[in-house]
Order: sequence, then structure tokens, then C-alpha cells
Amino acid sequence: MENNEQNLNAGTEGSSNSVQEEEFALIRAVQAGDRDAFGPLVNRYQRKIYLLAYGMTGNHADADDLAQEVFLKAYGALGRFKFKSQFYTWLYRIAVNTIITRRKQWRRHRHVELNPEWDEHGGSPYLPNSLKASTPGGELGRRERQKGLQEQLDAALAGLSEKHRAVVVMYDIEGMSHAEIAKVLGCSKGTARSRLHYAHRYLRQKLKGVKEG
Amino acid sequence: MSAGECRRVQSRFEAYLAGELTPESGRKLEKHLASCPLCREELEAERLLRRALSARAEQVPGSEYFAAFFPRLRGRLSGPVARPVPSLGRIPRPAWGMGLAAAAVLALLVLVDFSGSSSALAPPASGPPALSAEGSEIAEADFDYVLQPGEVGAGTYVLASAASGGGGLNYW
Repeated sequence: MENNEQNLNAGTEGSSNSVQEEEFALIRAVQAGDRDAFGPLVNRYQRKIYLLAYGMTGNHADADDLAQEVFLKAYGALGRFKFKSQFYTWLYRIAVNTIITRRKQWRRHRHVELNPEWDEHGGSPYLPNSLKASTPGGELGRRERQKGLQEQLDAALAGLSEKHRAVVVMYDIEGMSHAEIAKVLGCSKGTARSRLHYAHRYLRQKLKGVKEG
Repeated sequence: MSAGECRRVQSRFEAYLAGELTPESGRKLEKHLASCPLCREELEAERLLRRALSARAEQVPGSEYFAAFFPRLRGRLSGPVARPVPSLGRIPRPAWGMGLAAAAVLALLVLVDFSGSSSALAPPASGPPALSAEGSEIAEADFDYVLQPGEVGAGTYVLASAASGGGGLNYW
């Protein structure tokens, strides 16, 4: 896990500013019509957005789908980026909202699969086989899924509200600080801290008695 | 050991494990732990939780997957990116323009009234939107990413201006 007190972009203020300038230049290029300028922005954050989606869903096929959707939305909205915030904060907010909205839709219409053929083959065709096997959506994944800590964690995370789960994923999996989480969620640092504390207490209760390994 | 003290100690676990407590607070917490089996058990559970969550960060696809991520995405960037909208202050607004807009709205309302039901103003069909392979649905529906009530980030809502043409709430 990364250091929660380090900025997502860089460890120092100076390098953070240069990263921001570089990102702003890329955004201006995209706004001027250069689609390929979006590539470096995607490359910089694709792993983190994927991880956020995977942490929220516990499912690689959904994470793949959602990560692509987040960047599509970001691209579509980039023309309205006002350069008043950091790109990653803006992107993360789109990501959190997209993931939460999609999950609500999936819960309401669980029988409607966005990519039904993925289930038949055990996951997204773009995912490596090792991850397809662990895709809960597929029969192969279900058979091979081992009882244990990670499964208990999945069940416990599922009991949290979307907003509490988002805080846990951003802090514990992504390594973001309370301040960064607060910026993304548009809440105070205290609220982010309090949500994290509540979520941890809940998860601890759910994981009591579970053995590691 | 009072329940209140245990609650206070447990509320500091995250800060304690992150090394954010002052040395004095850390010593107090450890003193409490030494005499409270319940809090020791909670701290162990917190450590287990953190290890389990950290392990998630390693469960990502390899570099091949990410190398192909943007090339896949690029093929779906079909629509032009939303261009910045100039502020109202920079748009010349002749007085007759406002009258023209009002007349257009009035005409639309009259049309709707006469036709009984207007498909243009009908609410969108319910159910999840179908994602096309090209992502065109996303490009149209979310071209100008609009926050819905209840979405996170509500604290930084700004009302969509008349210039943006949207009736919703926009980012920043």
C-alpha cells in the first residue's frame, strides 16, 4: 500500500506542480482536438481507477468495464474542465460516481448483463486467464473461489454503504490520505475520517473469528 | 476498563497504525492495551483487516492488460470532446435575443399542448441504458458530466449556467 500522507501525484510540492502543469497541458491539447493527448493521462491513472473499481466491486470483469467507462466519461467531460482543481481529484470524483451509479443500476437490473458473453467465458476477453478464473460472474470463478479471508472480506465490504466502501477502498487499497479522499467526495476531512472509522469498526466485527491464510 | 475509554482507544487505531499519534498519545494507548484484552483483540482484528485490504492492491492485471487499455479505449472515443463553453459575459446578448428565446419557448409549449403528448419532452425510458460498443450512448448522455442528486461531491455543486444549456448540476 502506498503512503496515505503522500500526494497521489508526487511526494513533493514542486514535483506535484510540474505534474499538474504537464497534465493541464495535455488537457488543453485534448480540448483542442488531440485525442492522443488523452493517452498519457489514461496511462497515468488507469491502474488506480481499475483498482478503485475492483475494490468497489470485487470483480475483475466489472472493474474492466467500469474503468473503461470512467475514462470515456472523463474524455467526454474534459471540455468542461476549468483548471481549478487537480485532474486526479476530478477524475476520481467521476470514477466514484460512475461506479456507484452503475452498481445501483446493476442491483436493480441484475438480470441485464452489460456483457453477457463475458459470463460464458469467465470474464472480459481482455483480462488475463488468471484473473478470469477468479471472476465471480463465471462458473469457473465460482468453483475455484476459495473460502477464506478474501471471501469474508468481500462479504463484509458488501455490507457497507457505497460511500463507506469508497472511503475504505481509497484509503486502504489506493493509499490516499484523508484530505485527498475529502476532496474527491466533496466532504470535510473529518467526515472522511469518521466514515473510515465507522467502516473499519464494521469490517472488524464482520471479520472476527476469521483466520488468515 | 470503562466502555468509554475502550471506545476512545479504538477510535485511534487507524491513527496509531498509521503512526500519526503523538508519542504521548501512543504511550497512553499502549498502556491501555497492556491491560485490556478486548482492545488488544480489536487491534489484532484491525491489523488483519488492513493486511486483507492491502492484498487487494496486488490483485490487478499485469502490464499487458494495461498496455492494451488505452488502445482499446481510443477506438471508443468516437465523439468530439465537449468544448469549453464561453462565459455569458463574453457572449453579446442583444435585447431582441431574449425576446426571441421567450417566443421560442412559448411556441414549444403551444405545440406540446396541441399535440397532447410530445415525444421530445417524454421522460426517458426506464431501465439501464444499453452500452454500445463505440460508447456513443455515453458520449451523448454524459457528454457534459452532470451530477445527479445524491451523488458524491454535492458540496461542490454549481448550478449549470444558461450558457451550458443544461438544467442539471455540473462539476465545478
